[in-house]
Amino acid sequence: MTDDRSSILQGTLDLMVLKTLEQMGPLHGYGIARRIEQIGRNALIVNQGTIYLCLVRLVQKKWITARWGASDNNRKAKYYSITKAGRAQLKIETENWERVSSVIDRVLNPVPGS
Amino acid sequence: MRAFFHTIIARLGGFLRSRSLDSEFTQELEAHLAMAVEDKIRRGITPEEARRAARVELGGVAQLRQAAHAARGLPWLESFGLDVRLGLRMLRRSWGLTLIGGLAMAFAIGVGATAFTVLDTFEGNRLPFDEGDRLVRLVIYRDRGINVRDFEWWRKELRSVRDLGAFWTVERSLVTGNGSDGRVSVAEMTASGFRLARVQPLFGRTLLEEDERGGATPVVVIGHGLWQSRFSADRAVVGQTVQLDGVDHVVIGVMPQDFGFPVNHQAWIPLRANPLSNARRENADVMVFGRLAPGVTIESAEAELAAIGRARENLSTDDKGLIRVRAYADSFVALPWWFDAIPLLLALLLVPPCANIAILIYARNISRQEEFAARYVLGASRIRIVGQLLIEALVLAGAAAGMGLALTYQFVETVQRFVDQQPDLRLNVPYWMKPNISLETVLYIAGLAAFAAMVAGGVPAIRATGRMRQSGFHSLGDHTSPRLGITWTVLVAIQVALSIAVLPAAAQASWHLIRLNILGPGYPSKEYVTAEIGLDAERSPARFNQLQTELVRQVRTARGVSGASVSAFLHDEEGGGTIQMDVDGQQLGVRPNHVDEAFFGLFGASLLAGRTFENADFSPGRPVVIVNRTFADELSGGNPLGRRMRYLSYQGEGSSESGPWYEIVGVLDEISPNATRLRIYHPLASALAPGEVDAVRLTLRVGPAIPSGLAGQLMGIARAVDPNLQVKRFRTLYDVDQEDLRVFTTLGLAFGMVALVVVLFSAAGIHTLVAFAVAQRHREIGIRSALGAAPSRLVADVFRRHLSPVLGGIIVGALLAWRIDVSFANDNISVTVFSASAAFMIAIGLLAVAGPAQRAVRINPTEALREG
Repeated sequence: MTDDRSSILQGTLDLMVLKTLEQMGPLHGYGIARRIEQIGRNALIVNQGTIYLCLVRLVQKKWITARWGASDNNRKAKYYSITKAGRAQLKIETENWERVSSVIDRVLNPVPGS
Repeated sequence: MRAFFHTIIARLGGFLRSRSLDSEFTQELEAHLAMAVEDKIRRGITPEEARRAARVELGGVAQLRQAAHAARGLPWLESFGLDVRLGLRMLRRSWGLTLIGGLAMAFAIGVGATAFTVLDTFEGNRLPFDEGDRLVRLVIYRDRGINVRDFEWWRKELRSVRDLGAFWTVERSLVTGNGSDGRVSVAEMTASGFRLARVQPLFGRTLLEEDERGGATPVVVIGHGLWQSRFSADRAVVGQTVQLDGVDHVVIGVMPQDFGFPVNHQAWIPLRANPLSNARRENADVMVFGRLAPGVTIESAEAELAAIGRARENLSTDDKGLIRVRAYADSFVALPWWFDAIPLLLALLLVPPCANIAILIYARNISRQEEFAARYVLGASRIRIVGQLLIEALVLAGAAAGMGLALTYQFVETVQRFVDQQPDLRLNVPYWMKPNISLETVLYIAGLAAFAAMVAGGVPAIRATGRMRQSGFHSLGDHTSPRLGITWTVLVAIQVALSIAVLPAAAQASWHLIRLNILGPGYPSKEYVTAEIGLDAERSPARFNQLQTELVRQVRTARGVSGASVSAFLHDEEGGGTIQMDVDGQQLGVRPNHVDEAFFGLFGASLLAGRTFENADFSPGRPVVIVNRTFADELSGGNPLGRRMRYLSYQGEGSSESGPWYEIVGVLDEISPNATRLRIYHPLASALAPGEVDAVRLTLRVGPAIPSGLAGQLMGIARAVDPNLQVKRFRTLYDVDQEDLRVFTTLGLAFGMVALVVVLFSAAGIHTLVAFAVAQRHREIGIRSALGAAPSRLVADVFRRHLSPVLGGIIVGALLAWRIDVSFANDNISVTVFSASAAFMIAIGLLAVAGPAQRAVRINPTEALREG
């Protein structure tokens, strides 16, 4: 039996977490992991633990902030939200990603005659 | 970039709050797992399966915690802290190594840092003034000194040096309104000196040109130290009248702390530079200084000076080109360029103690092979293990550096106190040259510590872990013990050889330096009082002679004085130095003195042969000398009477000619039997060439108790003979000896300490290495025992094999010691000292071998075989 799910590309987890927080507003670590899995329709292998390491990094860079709050089930959980600097970084990284992916797309699907 | 800085700050914060952040992270992961489990149960999965799946999806919690901890804090700093703690624990465990090694390192670091501080103090100093580096001094080489006529001439003509000023130093007796009395060093200086310094007085004013004019009211500016000590820091001092050598002076200002320009003066009076106003001083030397005009270099100023030359009255045929301009701060101390290399060379002092520590650490590392192998197998890289061992050595070197710094600090304090207490010395050490422990000194010490750690810890770590990398896993179960290589055996031999070579010389030198302090000079030095007498800037030897004779005549009649004599140097004063003489072809280093007719009688020195000085000998140019018994003993060829001798050229003065011949007319018994030196005595009068002696030493015999008020009485007599006659440095010969001996005693103790450290060190090194080597042969000896070898044979074999490097070292060391003795110590080292050193080393070797050898014969062959 083969696993046809893909690993997350190195360096793209930051981008996904930032985008998720921008779209969904404040979320806890489990929420972020679930959201990425749902969006990826279970086609991505997300090691949920690595999301927490990613969150530590992003908090250090002040792209996101963290505060303790209560979850839907009234459980104590840490909520993360994107900062202004985080939004600016997200914009830069999104543009960068689009540029790289379009280049890869052109390389993989060359237009005949071009 | 901003994100980078935020990360650094966040990591620092994380490092400081690591415990609370760790616990928060654990809570967060627990919350995650709880939410994931609830979610899965809601989706119909059994609780057990939900818990399992949640854990799998999250990944290993322990690894996650560790990774987050590393991402949040400063992992390298934490591991460094861990290594330091481990290092401290190892130091505690091997306390002998710590103590001896640390002391030796501390001593070597202290010596290096002290030399560095001294050099740092004396070179590269800028005057603490605005544009202090533009201040220059005018110097004349190989001719008569600069006098006020030159100064006046240059002040009129010279354009490239501005604010030209001059000074000379005079000692004056200061009497203040509250009656305190004492001598102070005063700069008689032109007002331009203060203009140059651009330092404002604390209050009042400094000197002005008007003060220099003849007929102006005599004024004095006083220094901060004097203001504090003699005027109780009273601000009302300005306007008060004080007496300097009996002349009234009005105090016009007080200078701030740390101002002693031009050298290290305590007070300033105007230099009446007009030669006509002070005829007696027209030939006295002055020091001339000024500031380079804008855009002028030292070279162009010298060129202008060469063109102008000296004052007409002072010109001689080869004057031009001899006048030099030197940076003022550098003009007092000129260190040769190679002095800069001294701190680097002194770093080499660290090599012997560090090599010893390296041996000990290597032996210890060898016994820790299993520990390293285990860590290696568990994933620690070789660099990590070497790093840890290096840090262990660094902890030791760091502690030693701390002690070295304390030693240096102590030295600096002592030197400063010593200089402050010696008025003559203080005037030779410019006030801006204060030894202190600068940042550069601390960095130098840190560098030495790092170097020491590299040698002592780095080298053995690399050697010990090299083996581990090759064997890896095997080391864990490998019971065939590693052996010390041939390198270390050779090191034992070198160690012993060096100890044997150096120890006798060091012990002898140490004893030689401290023996006088222990034995005393051998005559009642406490019964003699001395003073220096001089005539301020007096150039006429005849006048000086006359005053000095009159002074001595009157002093002899003083109450409590049973005898008085004058001489160029005090008996056994270090200032005279040792000079090479040629005695009918034989070269001898002698200590010369010039004495009057009463000198020998004053010390009760009996005549052994020939005669003492007669009246006729004291007329100038009489070529007769008297020698002491040690001199006569040293002289080959029997009777010294009638033999001729002359001074060989003084080193450093560039003269290749020898002096005139003198005839030996008498031999005298020792004055101080415990301080035997080759001495020769000239009649005092023959020393007085013009300008040669401007101060002589007066020695009085007073008996066991110094009569009260003797110093005052002496001053009174001197003042009555001539107000300009100075009597200073009143003290007993015992005090003079002690002062001279202090340096020697310190040196002797330092020597002794080095010798002791070397011995302890070598003993520890040799003992550890030999004992370790024997212990390594545990199994082999067991097998031989099992095969039926007789215990006596086994013991003999152990002794033979492991004592041979020690014995080899002793033989090489003996040859070296003999060489050192012949070359440097004039065959003086006693056979007893040498034999004792050799016996000590053999005893150490025997002790080191005896224990393991005894254990070797008790080895149970079966157990030894099983160990394999």
